[in-house]
Amino acid sequence: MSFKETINVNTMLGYFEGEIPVNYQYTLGVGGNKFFTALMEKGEFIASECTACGVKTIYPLIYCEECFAPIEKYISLGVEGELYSFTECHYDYQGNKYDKPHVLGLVRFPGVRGGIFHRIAGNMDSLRIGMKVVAKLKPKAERSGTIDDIICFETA
Amino acid sequence: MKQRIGIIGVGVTGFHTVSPALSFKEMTYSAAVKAYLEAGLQPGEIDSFVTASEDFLEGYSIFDEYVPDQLGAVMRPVHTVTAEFLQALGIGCMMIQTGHFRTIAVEAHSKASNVKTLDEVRAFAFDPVYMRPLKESAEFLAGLEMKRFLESSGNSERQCAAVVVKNRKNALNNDLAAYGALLTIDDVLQSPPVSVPLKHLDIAQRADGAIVVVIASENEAKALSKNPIWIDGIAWCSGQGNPWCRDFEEAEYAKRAAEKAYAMAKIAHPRKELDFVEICDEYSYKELQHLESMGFARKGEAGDLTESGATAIDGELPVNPSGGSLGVGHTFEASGGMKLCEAVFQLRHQAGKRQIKNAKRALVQSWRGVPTATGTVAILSNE
Ligand SMILES: [Zn+2]
Repeated sequence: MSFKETINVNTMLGYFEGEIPVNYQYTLGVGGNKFFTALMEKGEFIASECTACGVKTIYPLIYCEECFAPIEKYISLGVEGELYSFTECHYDYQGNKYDKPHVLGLVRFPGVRGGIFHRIAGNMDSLRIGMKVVAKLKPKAERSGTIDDIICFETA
Repeated sequence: MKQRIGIIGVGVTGFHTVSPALSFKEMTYSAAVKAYLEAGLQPGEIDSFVTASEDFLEGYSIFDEYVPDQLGAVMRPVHTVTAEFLQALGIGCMMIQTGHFRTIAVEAHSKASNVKTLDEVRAFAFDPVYMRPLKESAEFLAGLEMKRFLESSGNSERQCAAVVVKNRKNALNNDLAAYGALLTIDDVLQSPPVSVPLKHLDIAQRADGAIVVVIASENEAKALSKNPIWIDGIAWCSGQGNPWCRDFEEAEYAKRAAEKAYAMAKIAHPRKELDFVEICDEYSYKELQHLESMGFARKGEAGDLTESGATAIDGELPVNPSGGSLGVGHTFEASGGMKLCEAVFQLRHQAGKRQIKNAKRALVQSWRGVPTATGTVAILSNE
């Protein structure tokens, strides 16, 4: 420390309360629009497929992250995938403890790069890596084009 | 490397759970005064300044406007990178390699105790469209990675707990550390679940502190310092940015950055040629994953290495003699700075009770934390 004076009394400790209110509209882009339109209207997941190098990606892209070619081909993956990993989370994004913990997982699709993070029905003992899981979607009329149109994934 | 870069001054505040008596600027100033005193330079004699920070952790937008004065860098060339300390150090090294700069000061700090909604700030780093609407804690991604890493490698939760016990114990011999403790494996295994298999004591807790380091060209370092510590190699890598595309088994950013740093420093057998390592242990399992990814253990063997005592302070390859982030405290973008200071103290043989005998060469590694896949590796030596 190189100060001539410092604070050594608790009652002199000062601070100022501040907050940053921030609000955004995040553009989905072409790939995101395709994904959520297919989810809302057809109740299925889509991936992009690069015709130059063959890499398939979820979430769909309009450019290939592998070879940088533009992408114009999109394929349906249905709603069934495989549980790549999972966890039982006890706190929400604000650090509040859940009454009942949430099970979350990463669902992948064979031969496709990427996957979907979402809630998984089940518990740590009933689930295994590699299990087949199927998306449970909201009824079509209630879908709004967000990731929450998926209620959860259930074991197939 | 074209020329070696010398570390000629380090200034570090202690690390504390809270720091209510000082503003972040005052904290940084006190680290800068120490670093400049060691380097024997006035700030006006330092050619340029690089700082590392992240706006949301600071609570300012355009935070780089707020960094010059506490470094003595008003009206001087200074820039801030949204990155971790070791990346800023790497940038400083590149600036010196251009030949246009002889000396650079590098700074990072943590004032995490200022952030009243730290969990929310961390979750705000998730992709807004595909992940944030789930409204889950940032720790869910660490828990999910830990599950996949343990299952694919064969390392165990008990071995992760052994990392925590080792690092928190090491921190008891480090006066800078905030979280030194004598724990048992069972203390860790029985601590409350956060994101299973990740438990409360597997997670490094936040700390405040500031680090300033002065580096110089090889010639300048020899002229200015009696005991410069040399940067023989430094590299960083960003792996797959989208978390849903990662494999969660290997830390590819660490592997690639290490390969490059080893090549620069001409290291062929890291475990034999390095005397100790200071690596990212923000979560217990990360220490094991990073050890395997950087070639110190084969897949699934880092846990055995830990349980055998080989990574203890008196082991064959001490890992995190400082106590690591688990023992010293998690300082976010300053994490690699804390670890670099430890390596400098060890290589100068100034580490007191925790001094590793005849330490000559070390590796320092950082990771930017959830949800990133970015990390840096530096190789340091004292001869
Ligand atoms: Zn391609």
